Amino acid sequence: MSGQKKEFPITWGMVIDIDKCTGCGACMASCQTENNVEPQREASNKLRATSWMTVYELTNDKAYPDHDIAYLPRPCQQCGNPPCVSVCPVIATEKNENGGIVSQVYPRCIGCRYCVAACPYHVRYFGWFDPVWPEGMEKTLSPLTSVRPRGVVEKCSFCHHRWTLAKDAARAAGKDPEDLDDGAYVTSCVQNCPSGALAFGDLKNPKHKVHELIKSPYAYRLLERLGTDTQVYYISRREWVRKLGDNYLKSE
Amino acid sequence: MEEKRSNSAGGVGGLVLCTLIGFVGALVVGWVIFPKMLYSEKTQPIRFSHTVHTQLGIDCEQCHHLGPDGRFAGLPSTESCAECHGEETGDTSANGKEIDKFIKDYVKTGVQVPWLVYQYQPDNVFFSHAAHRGFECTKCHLDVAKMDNPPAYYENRLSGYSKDTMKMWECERCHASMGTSNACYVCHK
Amino acid sequence: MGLDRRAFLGLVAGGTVGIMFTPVPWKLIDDASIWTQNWPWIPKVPKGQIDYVTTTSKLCPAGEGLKIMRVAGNPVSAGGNPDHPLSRGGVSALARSEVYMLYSPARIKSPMKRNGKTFAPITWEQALIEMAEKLGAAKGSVASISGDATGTVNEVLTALVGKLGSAGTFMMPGEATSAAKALKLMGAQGQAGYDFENADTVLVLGADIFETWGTSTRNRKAFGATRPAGTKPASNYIYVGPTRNNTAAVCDQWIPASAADLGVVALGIAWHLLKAGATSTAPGFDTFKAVVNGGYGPEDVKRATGIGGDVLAGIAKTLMASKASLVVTGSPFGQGMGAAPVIAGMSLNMLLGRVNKPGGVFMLPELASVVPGALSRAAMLDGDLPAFLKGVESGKTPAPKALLVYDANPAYGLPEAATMAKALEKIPFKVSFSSFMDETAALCDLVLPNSLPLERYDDVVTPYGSGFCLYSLVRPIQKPIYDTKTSADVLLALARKLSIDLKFDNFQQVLKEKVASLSKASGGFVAKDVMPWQVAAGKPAPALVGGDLWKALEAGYAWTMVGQVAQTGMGFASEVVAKAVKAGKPAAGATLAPYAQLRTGTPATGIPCQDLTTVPDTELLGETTLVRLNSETAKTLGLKKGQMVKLSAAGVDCQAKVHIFESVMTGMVSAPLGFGHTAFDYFSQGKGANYLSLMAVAEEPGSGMSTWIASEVKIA
Repeated sequence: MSGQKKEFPITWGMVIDIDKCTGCGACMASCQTENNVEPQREASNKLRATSWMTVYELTNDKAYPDHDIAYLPRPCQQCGNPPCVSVCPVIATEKNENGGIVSQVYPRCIGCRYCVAACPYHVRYFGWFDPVWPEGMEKTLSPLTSVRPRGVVEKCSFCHHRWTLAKDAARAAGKDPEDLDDGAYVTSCVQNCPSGALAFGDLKNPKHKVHELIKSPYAYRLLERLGTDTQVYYISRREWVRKLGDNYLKSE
Repeated sequence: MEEKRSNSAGGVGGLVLCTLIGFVGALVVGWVIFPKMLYSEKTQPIRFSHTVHTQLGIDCEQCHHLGPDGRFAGLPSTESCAECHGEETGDTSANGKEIDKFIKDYVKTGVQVPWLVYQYQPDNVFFSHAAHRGFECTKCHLDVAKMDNPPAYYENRLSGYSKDTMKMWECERCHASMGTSNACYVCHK
Repeated sequence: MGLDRRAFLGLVAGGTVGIMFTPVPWKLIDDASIWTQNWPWIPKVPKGQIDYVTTTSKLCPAGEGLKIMRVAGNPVSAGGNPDHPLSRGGVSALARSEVYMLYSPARIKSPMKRNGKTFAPITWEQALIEMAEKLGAAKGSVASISGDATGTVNEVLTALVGKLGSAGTFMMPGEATSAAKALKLMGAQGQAGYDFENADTVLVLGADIFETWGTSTRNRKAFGATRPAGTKPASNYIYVGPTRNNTAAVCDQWIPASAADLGVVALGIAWHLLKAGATSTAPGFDTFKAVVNGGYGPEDVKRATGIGGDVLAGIAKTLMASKASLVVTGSPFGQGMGAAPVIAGMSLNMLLGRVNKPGGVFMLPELASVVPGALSRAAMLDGDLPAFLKGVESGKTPAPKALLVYDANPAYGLPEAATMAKALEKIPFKVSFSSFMDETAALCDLVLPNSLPLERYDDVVTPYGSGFCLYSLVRPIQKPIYDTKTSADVLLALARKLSIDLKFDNFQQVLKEKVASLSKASGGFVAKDVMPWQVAAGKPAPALVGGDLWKALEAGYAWTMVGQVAQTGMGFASEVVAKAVKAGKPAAGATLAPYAQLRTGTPATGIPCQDLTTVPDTELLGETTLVRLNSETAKTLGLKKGQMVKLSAAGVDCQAKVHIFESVMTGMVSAPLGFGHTAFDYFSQGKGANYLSLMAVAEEPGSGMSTWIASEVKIA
């Protein structure tokens, strides 16, 4: 990795309160359809199923009754130093835009899957088959995300298209599209979460709630010690949950 | 020997001539015939006259406007056309007949007109009209306001896109000259 | 001049060079690469203007308001409506699927008539004639089952069945059934509503309040609002139940207890409250006190449930110390609870003085009916469907001559499913109004597909669990895609054909009348700037701006009313408690503790196709569902991780794979519901087993109600 992190005036970030996540899957369902991921008949085969947002179950590994569980929703972590970008031979994935969202351009992707292997968070999915919708259901495709054929890699884009929508709305309202109000741009999963476990905003903008949230003593990021410098923060008051966010030696 | 020599003597000139013919032929094929073969010409389902409407003092924005959310509304719906053209006119002039055709085929049936859009971009392009409001429409679009007949629509037989669809290099060139970012996600979705 | 070899080469060379000076090679390469990006079998995304319209979710029992994104007038996706009090922007995985369900492969595309083992399409006119004839002949013995817990359509259905001569009008059993029975036995009036928004300590006895119980989306929003991220929570949630389910996973405390013992736990807490001096003027208090002191002391409860006295004393102390405590009782899988545990739980609310108080339980009035002859919701909830069908199956109850099934799937969604299906087979003429080809529709003689909620007018009236009265409109935003009709309209047309006067010609008129009646209810308002829980907490209710209520409802706002029925005779029903609150018998094998989740849909919807991906592989792997037990239970039963097992009970066998999961009480087998469909489409069919069919129905002493809360299963 180059280690030369690009800085952007805006840094979109997500803050996920694990202590509020019930693991219901509404975020996953919201993501699937927002981003035109086809319904998958064999969805229980998690090696083949595509879900840009995935809820993982965490446990403290103790036996009943000391056992505890937590749910961890995992979108693309939008690393500051993305390991996927440097391995892409065709520049189909880049981190070069204000906002710091790691882009993925499907027509340019050659399906080599180096990025899938490089991503420490398993956020990248390879399309093994052409997507098929039940008859008529293609009418419900979202116009905001293009449909991917088989053979390319796809991943969460922080519903990047919603940012463009928000910027357009700001322009129409005569506001500065580069200085959006808190909540003007949120991803589909964040918007629909019934528990309010997910928050979204510009991490650098003091007017945005997430700017404060990431300063919480309970906030942490996944595999921080890899130096990926992700833009997704997690919050949990439970220490064991926070400790699962990285690999620790027994002595630590 | 004789024959061969004579052949080779005339051959140099022949060779040059043939090469020239090949060269010019290729140019003709490439510049004149190929484009005609590559595109199929289509006409609009309704012969909409922009000039008639502009002469009535209708602003472009009345039909092609930005929505309150900043999204470009694109083409007007059959319903909004029907606000003026609700009933058949019975007019037998060429324009009158065309209006009646529109009313009979679309207004009465409630179907949207399958207009051929000269500029449609691929699905993976997000174009914001709001962001480009500072430019004249004609910088990118055909100046249809001055046209009585809609221009022919040329569809690329290979790619399926309109001949007038802007290519990515054109977007990039302008972005670069304006100092706007050319990052993928500025335009792609 | 003849073309010799040299000339030809010259021509080719010239042509080759020439072509390089034309756009041909470059344009072809470019276009060919674009061509490879647009395979005709990859669908194109729709083009057109984006707009948003609002309606209310009817497929999801949580009844959240929806904001539907449309492109060129076609619905594309459903999100939560931030202005709706049951959504506040949130949406369940099920409600999210409303748009895609329009094109579900399980949809019934036209009315159909049974023809031997298959169905043949018929016209609506034929269907009406056929139905009128058969129902006319069945007069005096017509029954109905409704799976719609909140709709005014029930008024049309029950009025029609009543006038045809009712053999029983039933609702699919759920949390509301147990609660209604409990309140009836307590002598209370109204529907229990829980004010989560204003509560600070919530004791949850069994109810999966964040998944299947009541207004779960609203419950979670209320929960989330008291828990700002990264700081100390402003509320305390305690969950008592057999597994650390989705609700317990976010609660501050999980106290393991069998679902059969929840009544005992409640009375055990009551013992501590009484000891600390809690008292009540409600009828039956003295008997209640005697019952509790007589058999539910710390030792008794520890023996029965394994929960230590200090734990319950701690809960009692927390409840008493908090300003606004609330006790919620329900089934961990949304049904089969019985009345006694709910009574025991409600007793705690009474001892704590939390009835009709902000942050407590409101006894909500039922909104006036508009269809003459319709049953009230309370009357409908009084029916006991499993008992009725069991009676029909055994021959104790005469089978009705005809059955109308609306929005319900009793052949799948009831305990002892095999028995229930047999009972249904005994009914000679059955009509299903299902939108999807479900297990019950597959058994019926006529299938008259209902338009989906996005294609019809409908309503949501105060879902069970809501802390306030609510009326929310469901409106069509899409023409019916197939040859379907709004069932309520079909019922009204049928009534006309049978010369039965139901006062209305179509369902929209019924709804308009219902809305008009709301304007007359005092205290009602459109929740917009002021939300009902703010009014419950003391904020003055805004006035209802008259005349435009229908318009406001169509714009996606909900009519709400904070009100309560003053209780005159609400008592402790201690005789029922004394008889029915007993510790569950320790099972010889294991006790089945099912759990349900909205992502696998309801019995009436099947698994929404887009939601299948959200099911983890610890629940469904290939075509097999997994059951969860802790390592101690597994050891006792001699089971290993990943082992294929057979669960047997009630004469039924179900396959399962073993998943070792330590957040399940010892002795319990936790099993997911919503799987094992034999009908619907390839997203539901053949995926796992229906563990509800293993649940045995028993009669609750004292109330006589059917219960199936924890059944013994054999695992081998």
